[in-house]
Amino acid sequence: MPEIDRRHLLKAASATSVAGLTGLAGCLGGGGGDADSLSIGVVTDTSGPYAHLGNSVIRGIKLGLAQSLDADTEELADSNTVEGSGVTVEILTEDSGLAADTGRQKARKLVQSDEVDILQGSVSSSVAAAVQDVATNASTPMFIDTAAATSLTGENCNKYTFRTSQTTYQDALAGGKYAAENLGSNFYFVGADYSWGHDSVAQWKSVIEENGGSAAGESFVSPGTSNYTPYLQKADESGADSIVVALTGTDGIRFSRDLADFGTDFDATATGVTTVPWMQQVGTAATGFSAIPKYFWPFPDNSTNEWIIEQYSSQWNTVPSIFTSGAHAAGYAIGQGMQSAGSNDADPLIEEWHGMTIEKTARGDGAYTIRECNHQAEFPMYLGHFEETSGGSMDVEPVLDDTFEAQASIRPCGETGCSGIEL
Amino acid sequence: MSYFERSNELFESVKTPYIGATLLALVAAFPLVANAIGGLPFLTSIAIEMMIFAVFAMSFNLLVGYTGYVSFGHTVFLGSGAYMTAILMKKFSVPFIAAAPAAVVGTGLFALVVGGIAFRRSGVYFAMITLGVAQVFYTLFQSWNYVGGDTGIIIDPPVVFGYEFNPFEPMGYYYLALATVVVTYLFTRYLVRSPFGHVLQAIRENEERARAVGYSVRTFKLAAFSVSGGLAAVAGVLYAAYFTQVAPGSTLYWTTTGDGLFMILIGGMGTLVGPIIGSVFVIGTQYALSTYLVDFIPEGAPTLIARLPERWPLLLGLLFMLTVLRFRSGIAGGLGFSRVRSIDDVLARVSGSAEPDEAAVKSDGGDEK
Amino acid sequence: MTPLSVGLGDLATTFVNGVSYGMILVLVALGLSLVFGLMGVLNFAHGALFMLGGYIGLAVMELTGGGITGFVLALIIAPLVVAAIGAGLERTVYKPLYDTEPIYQLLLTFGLAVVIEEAVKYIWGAAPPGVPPRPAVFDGAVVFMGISLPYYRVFTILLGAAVVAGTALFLSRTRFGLIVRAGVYNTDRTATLGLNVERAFTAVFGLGAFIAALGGVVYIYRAIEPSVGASIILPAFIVVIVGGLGSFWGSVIAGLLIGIIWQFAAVYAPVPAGTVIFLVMIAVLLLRPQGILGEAEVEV
Repeated sequence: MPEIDRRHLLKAASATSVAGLTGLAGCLGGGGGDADSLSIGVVTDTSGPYAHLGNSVIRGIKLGLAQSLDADTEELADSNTVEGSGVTVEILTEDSGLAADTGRQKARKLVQSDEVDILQGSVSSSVAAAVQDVATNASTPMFIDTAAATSLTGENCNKYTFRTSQTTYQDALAGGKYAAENLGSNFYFVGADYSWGHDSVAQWKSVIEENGGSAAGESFVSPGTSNYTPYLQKADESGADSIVVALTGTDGIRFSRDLADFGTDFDATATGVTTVPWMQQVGTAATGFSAIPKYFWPFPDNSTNEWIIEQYSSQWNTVPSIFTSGAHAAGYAIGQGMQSAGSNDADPLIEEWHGMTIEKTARGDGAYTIRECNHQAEFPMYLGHFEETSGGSMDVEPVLDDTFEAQASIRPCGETGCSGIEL
Repeated sequence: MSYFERSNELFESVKTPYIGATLLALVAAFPLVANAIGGLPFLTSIAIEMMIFAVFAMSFNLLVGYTGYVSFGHTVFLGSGAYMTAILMKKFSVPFIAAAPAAVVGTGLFALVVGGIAFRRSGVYFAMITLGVAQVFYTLFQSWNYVGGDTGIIIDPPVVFGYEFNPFEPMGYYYLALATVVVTYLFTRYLVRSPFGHVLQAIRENEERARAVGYSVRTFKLAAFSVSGGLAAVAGVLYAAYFTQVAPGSTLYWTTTGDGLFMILIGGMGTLVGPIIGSVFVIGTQYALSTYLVDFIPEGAPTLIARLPERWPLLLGLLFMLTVLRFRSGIAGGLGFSRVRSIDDVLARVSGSAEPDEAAVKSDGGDEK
Repeated sequence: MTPLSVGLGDLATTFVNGVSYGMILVLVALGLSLVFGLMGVLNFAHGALFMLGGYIGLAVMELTGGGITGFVLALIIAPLVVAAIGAGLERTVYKPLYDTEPIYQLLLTFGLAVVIEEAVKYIWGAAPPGVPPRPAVFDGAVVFMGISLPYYRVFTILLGAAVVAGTALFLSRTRFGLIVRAGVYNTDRTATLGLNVERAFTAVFGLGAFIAALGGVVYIYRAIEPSVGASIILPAFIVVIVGGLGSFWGSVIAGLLIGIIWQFAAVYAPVPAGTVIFLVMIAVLLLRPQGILGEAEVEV
C-alpha cells in the first residue's frame, strides 16, 4: 500500500479501539512530525552465539547518535536514551535470537505497540529479511547494520531500507581483488553451507577470476562441523595455493586451528571468520589470514575513530567490533537526518538519507555515502592481516595493508539487481 | 478394557461443556479486551503464535501422548506444511485456499513414507530415525536456493474470498487460528475416542497385547503417524499464512520439536487440552521473560541479574525438569484432567513381560493419580 | 606459488584424520553408552557435560595461568569436578525416574541439557570465551609415510586410546567393574544378589561424565562455546546407535568408524557429510538394528 501512509494508519488504528478491530481505520493521522523526539527499535541477537555482535551494534548506534547530537556520553553504557541538541532519541532493543519468526514478531511489536519511528537490525540475514518485510509493509524506515546478504539492498531494495554495513559483495570486491593481486593465483573456496556462505563464495570467485586468479575448487560445510581437515585436503589436492574462507562463529575458529596445524603454506583470506572473539580464541593461528576486508579498530586514523575507541574502552572496557563502524554510521545518519529534516516523520527523513553523505564516521569525515540508487552505503574498505604481539590482552593484532576507494568496493548501480528507488 | 470408559477429559462429562463454552467465549473476546487496554497488536500476535503452536502440539500429542511413540523429528511436518503452502503460493501462484489443503494432504502422504521407514523400529531407534530425517531436510534446505536458503520464502499475506489478511490488523488471523484450534481439538477428541483411537492407546499401553488381540498394529501406527503429520501441516499452513516467511531455522530445526515436547509435557501429555495449555504457557513464558522481564531489571544491575531476561530458556528448562520430576501429568493434570490407566493393562504388561518386577514398577509410575 | 611442504596424502590421510576425529566422538560416546547399558537411560544431557568440562577446564587454566601446567591441571581437575556434578545429578535428578517410563527419562535429560547450556551462558556469557594460547609443545606435526599429523591430534588419539584402555581395564579387572557388568546384563538379578547396584549407577554416571569432560577439555583447542554440547550430541548418538546401544567396544569401533566415514564423505560425497552419517545411521537401524556389537534391540 504505497500511496497511503500506512504507519500512521496503524498508529491510529491501535489508538482508537473500535477502528482497530473492524479495520475501519480510514485515513486518520498523517503529518504532524515531531522535531524533538525519535525512537529506534533494534531487533537483533542479544542472547545467542552472536550476542557480542548484537550488543556491539547497539553500542555503535548510541555512539553515532551521541556524536551527531553532541550528547553527553557519561551514561551511555547504562541508558537507552541519547539526548542532545534538543533531540531525545530512545533506543528499544528486542532479542530475536537467530529466529526469523521471533524477529518478525518483535519487529511487529516495535512498530505497532511501541510505535517506533525507525527499525534497525539484524545479525542474521534471515532475521533481517523478516524485519525488512515488516518495515516495508509498515512504511517504516529501516537501517541494516550487520546482515550482509546483497539481496536486502539488491532485488529487495526499496525506499525504506538503508544499509550502512558492508554487503558480501563489498567484502568480495575489496578482499577478492587484493587476494588475487597479492596472495596467489589459484584459489580454493570453503564456505558455510547456507545462503551467506554460498553467496560469498560465488562473489569472491567471480571477483578473483576477473582479476586474473583462477578457482581450483570449492567445498561447503555444514555449521557445527567439528573437523576441517577434509577441506584442507581437497584444497591441497586441487593444486590451489590460497584459500578463501566464508565461515562464521566457532566454525571459523575450528577452521583456523586446522589451517594453522595442517596447511601452514596456504595463504588464506576470509570473510565472516575474523571477529574479535575469534582473535581471542585462536591467538597466533590468526596470523595465517590476510586480505581481510573488515573494519578493525586500529585501521582508520582519524579523530572520530579515536573517539569511538576511547568511548568503547571507558564505557564498555573492550575494543569495538567489526560492525561498530557501520552501526556508528547508522546512528550518526539518523541524528544528522533528524536535525536537517526537523521531523521524525518517515518521508522527510527518507529524503534526507537518500543520497546522504554522513558527516562523521569511523572511516573518516564524509566517508560514507548512502547511494540514491539502492540505499546501500558506499565507503572505503580496509584490508589487513594479523601479527603476533606481546603487549595487551591479545596475542595478535590486526595490521593495515591497504585501503580501497569507496567506488571501487561496490558494484555499480546497474548491477545490484535493485530496479531503482522512487521517493 | 475399563480404560476407555474411565478417561476423563475436558468437555467429557455433561457438566463441562459450560466451562468449555465460557472459556471459548473469553478467548474469542480477548482481542477486544487486549485492544481496550492498549496492547492490542502485540498481545494478539502472541496469542496467534500460541494457537499455531497449540495445533502443532496437539498433532504431536496424538503421536507421543496417545500412541506412545516419541519422535524427535516432528517439526519436519510443520516445515513440510509451511513450505508446501509457501512454494505453491509463491512459485505456482496457487491461491491460499487451494494451497492449504494440498499442503496438508501432501504432508500426510510424506508422513506415511517417513513412518514406513521409522516404524520398522521403536523406542530410541524410532526417535533417532525421525530426527535423522528432519536433520537431513534441515541441512539441505539451508542452502537450497530454490526455497531461499536460510532466509526462506517470503510470501504475501493470503487473500481468501476477497478478504485480505493483514498482519498489522491481525483480527482475521486471530479468528482463523482460533477456529483451527477448536476444529483440531474436536477432531483429536473424536479421534482418540473412536475405535481407532482406542487401538492407538492400546498400542501405547502394550503394543504386544494389541498385536496379540489381532490388530494390525503397524497399519494403525502408520495411520496415526500420517494423521499426526497432516495435523502438524495444518499448523504449518497457518504458520506460513501468518508469519509470511518460511525459513528452515524456525520450521525444520530440531529445537522446534523440542519446544513441542516442552508444550506437551508441561501442558499434560496424553490429555486433550494439555497441548493447548502447554503452548500458551511456553510461548507466553518465552515472550514474557524475553520482552517484559527486562523492564524490571534496574539500570546498572550486576551482570548476573542483568543477564536474567536473556536466559529465559534456563527458567523454562528448570520448570520442564520440575514437571518431569514432580508433576508428570502437567498443568492439565493439576487442573484435574488426568490420563487414567486401567489396572488391567498394567497387569497385562506384567504378565507379558520377562521381568515382572521391573515392568510392574515401570508401568505404574507414569501417572500421578 | 609456494610449493606445499606438508603433503596430505589421499586415502591414508583421509583415514588417519578420520581416526583422530573419531576419537573425540569415542570420548563422548563412551559415557553415553555406559550409562545406557547400565541404567537404560539415553542421556541427552551428556553433550552438555562435555561442554561443561571445557568451560571448567578454561576456568582452571585461568586460575593457574595457562601454559602446559594449566592445561594438564585442567585435564585432571575439570573431569573430576564434572564427575562430581554428574554423580550429584544422578542421585538427585535421574534416580527418581528409574522407576518410570523411559519416555520421561528421555524428556528429563532433554530438559537438563537445556538447563546446563543456559546455565553456562548465564555464568560465562553466550559468546565464545577467550582461550589462553595453546601450549607450545603442541606446535608441529609428526610426519611418516607422507602423512602429517599435528601433535595435538596425536595427543587426542593417544589420550582417547588411554581412556578406552583404562575404562576397559576398570570394567574387566575390578570388583566394581564386575558389578557394573553384571548390572548391565541384568540389573534386578544383580541387586537380588545383594550387590550395591545403586552405587554402581552413581559411579558409572560419574565415570561417564568424567570421560565426557576430558573430551571437553581437549576440545578447548578446537573451539568452545555453549552450544558445542548440542552439536556434538547428535553424532555421538549416531555412534552409540551404530555401535549397539550399551556395547562398550561397539561404541569404540563405531566412533572410529563414523569418524572415518564422515571424513571420506566430506572429501568425496556430493552431499553434506552430516547428512551422510545420518543416512548411515538410518541404514544401520533398518538393516542391523542391534548395531555392530549390540546383542538385541533394547526396548525403550
